[in-house]
Amino acid sequence: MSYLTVNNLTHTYGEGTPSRKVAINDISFSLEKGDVLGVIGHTGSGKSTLVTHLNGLMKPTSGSIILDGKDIWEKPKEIKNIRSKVGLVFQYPEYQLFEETVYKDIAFGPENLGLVGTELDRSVRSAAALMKVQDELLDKSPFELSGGEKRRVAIAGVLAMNPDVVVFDEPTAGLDPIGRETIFSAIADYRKKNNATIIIVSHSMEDIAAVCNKVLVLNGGKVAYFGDTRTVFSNVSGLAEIGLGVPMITSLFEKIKAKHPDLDCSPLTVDEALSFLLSYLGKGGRADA
Amino acid sequence: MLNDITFGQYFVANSLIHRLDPRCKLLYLVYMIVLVFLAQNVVSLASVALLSLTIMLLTRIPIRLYLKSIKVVIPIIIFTAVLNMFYSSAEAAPLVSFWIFKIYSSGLIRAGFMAVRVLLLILLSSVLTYTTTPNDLTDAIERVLSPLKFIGLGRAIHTMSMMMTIALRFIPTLIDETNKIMNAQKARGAELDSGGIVKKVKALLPILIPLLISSVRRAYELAEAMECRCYNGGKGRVRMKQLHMKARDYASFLVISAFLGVIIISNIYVKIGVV
Amino acid sequence: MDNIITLDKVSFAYESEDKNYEVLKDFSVSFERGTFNVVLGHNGSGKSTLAKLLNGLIKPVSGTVSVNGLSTLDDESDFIIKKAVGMVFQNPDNQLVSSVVEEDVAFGPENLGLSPEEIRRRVDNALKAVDMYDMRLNATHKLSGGQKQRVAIAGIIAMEPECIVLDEPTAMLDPKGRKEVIDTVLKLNKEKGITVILITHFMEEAEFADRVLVMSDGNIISDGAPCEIFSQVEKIKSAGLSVPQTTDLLFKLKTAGYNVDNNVISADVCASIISDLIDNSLKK
Repeated sequence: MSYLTVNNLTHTYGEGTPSRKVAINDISFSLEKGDVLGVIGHTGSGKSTLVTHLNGLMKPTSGSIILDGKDIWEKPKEIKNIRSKVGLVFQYPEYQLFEETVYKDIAFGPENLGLVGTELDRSVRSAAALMKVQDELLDKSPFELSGGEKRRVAIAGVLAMNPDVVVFDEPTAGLDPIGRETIFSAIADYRKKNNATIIIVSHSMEDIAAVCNKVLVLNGGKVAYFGDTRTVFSNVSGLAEIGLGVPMITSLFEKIKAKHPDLDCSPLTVDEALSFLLSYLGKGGRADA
Repeated sequence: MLNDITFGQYFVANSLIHRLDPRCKLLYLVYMIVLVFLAQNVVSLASVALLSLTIMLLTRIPIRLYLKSIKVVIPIIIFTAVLNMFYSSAEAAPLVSFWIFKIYSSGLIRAGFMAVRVLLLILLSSVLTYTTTPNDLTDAIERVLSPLKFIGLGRAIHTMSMMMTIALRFIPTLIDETNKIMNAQKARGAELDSGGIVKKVKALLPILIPLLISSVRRAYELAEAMECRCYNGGKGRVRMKQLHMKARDYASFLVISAFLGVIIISNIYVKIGVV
Repeated sequence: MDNIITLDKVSFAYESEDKNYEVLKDFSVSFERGTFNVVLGHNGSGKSTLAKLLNGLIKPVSGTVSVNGLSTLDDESDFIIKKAVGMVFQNPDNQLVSSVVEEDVAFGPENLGLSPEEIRRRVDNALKAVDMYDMRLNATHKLSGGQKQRVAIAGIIAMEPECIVLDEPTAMLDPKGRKEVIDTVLKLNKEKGITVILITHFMEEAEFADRVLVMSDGNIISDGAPCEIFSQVEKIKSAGLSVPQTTDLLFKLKTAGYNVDNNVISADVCASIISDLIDNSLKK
């Protein structure tokens, strides 16, 4: 049975008023433990509305979210408990830092969950270590840190709550390649360590192709595609129709295939493309040996 | 709740009121406020209310939006009205009396008057801000106050109007930001709506501190951007939109002036519902 | 060569409580009038410091920055320099002054003390140049990121500068907004001849530049035409930058011993290079 299931989720803003707007419409998908889902879609396609439903910050107009076999809205009064299970890292999370020290800021989440003493200390330090926040930074004010460090502290603040599902909204927006790399590898470490389910909202098809095993494409509040990454990205023309692309390397091969239709490869990463080309060009034997 | 604040926002439309000279609109607001307080009986207050309603309709902005602007201040209106209800110097027997409270008919009338007056003040101010772009508005304030430059306050007036422009520009941005920070802290398990006063105030810190820090950062970046656009405190600044009084401005002046007569005459001759 | 901006042995340091951060040291570079320049660098490479030096927003500790021959150290020239070199920043929300599009664009020209008719003309032209004329009466806070950034650019070009410096203008935008901004800047350079200095960490944005500079730790480590720079994949990666997948693939093919041109970004050109490679190998 799947770990997280979203059933026919619909949310309507301003129901009963002239400005009524369906933000997400009949969204269904399901994920296993350890899955990494990429969510793509234009600004305004409903991505933000979807992710704020996953930890109960918004209540569905209709439909349900089943986590570990239980509807998260089964007991509305206990909705806050869901926040310990589903962590949500918003876009530019560094703007939520507020404590005097990095340590205290990371501890804010787990403390709200009721953690104290050594248990609290352990969760703060392990989240900090995972996000490559060095020990000597823990006593500093978060406002003295560089942009990339602040981002990692903010993410550590969510991971310290030890959620089973973590949703990242554009986790690398505004970062340079080194900053991006650090964050993606930390996310991968967290997933491996906790067998967690990860959901990443991103505009970068290359990043999605590199880190996700499943992809959900939203268009106008509806699911346009959902499936494993390779299958979704094989809909080159369908994605282009809704104004979304595929990874650059995938579209490059579409162009090559226009001239060489017999070429049987739709790579998602550069390395995949390279090893295919090398073997196709007759050097693969040596490379494989 | 934050999304309910519409006061101080501009709504695009092309009505007669939108096109009036902002300086006139500003002076009319002051004038209407005077009328609201001059109106001492039911007839004169009703006629001011009617005039206000006509103006609101002329703006072609949905009445729903005006109602929204009132929503936030309803507690203040009720508070003022209740306060006025008990305050009376009437000699007649009280309508209701319990314990130390006595409610007189004149107190009720006074409460009703007060509520209507506050309501009209809010609505009329909304008319001004809804139909006038913030820049026009601050420009109008700057120009209406410009005679003060002869007593050495020219710089102060410009600074004030610039501050208002920027404040109005950043209100929606900061409202969005507050919502985002609230959501982010809730996602970290923060409880914003439970516990006693001390706990509630303490729970606000995770929202207020990030908001303050981001406002300072925004202010700093905006100052840099303004400097790059050759801003140097308003010296030698010429506005793109120059204001010229047009026929409609003079006509509106006549219409609205006629009301002063109506109010004064009714105050003298009408004796019902007098405060 | 007709240079619009020249930096001569410029040093700059940020002071903080306990130490001085020296960001640039003996840094010299010139930008030629009318060209499209892209400065690539990772966060902390000194590229934002460079941007702010270019119009005198910050002043060098030693050395000189001169714009059209005028030093930014000279307070008298400050106004003329800021008028000649406009600046667009990263966060679109923090550089718009007014709540209405056209009033925001008018802010700069208004400060120049022009006649109201001239301001109107420039505002209309600027809005048309960035393709935002139809939205001139809209509220700024309701625009998309790309639209806000185009309004910010219009606000600068309405001052009719000779040069525009853009400090990571696309870092906070989605791909659509990013394309809108880059296309706009390219058009301004080609059609109006405005010198452009675009600071970014997206190498894709350098594709149509006349000149690309790569910065790392306060130094220029590469400087040349795009095709010269793009082939230096290892150098670019060592500067903490990533290269587009097309360029990366060609570089890896070349490393594997194939004779391919690896100085391109464009997917079309890359596709034809690889097609040729396949054709040639099939012939054998």
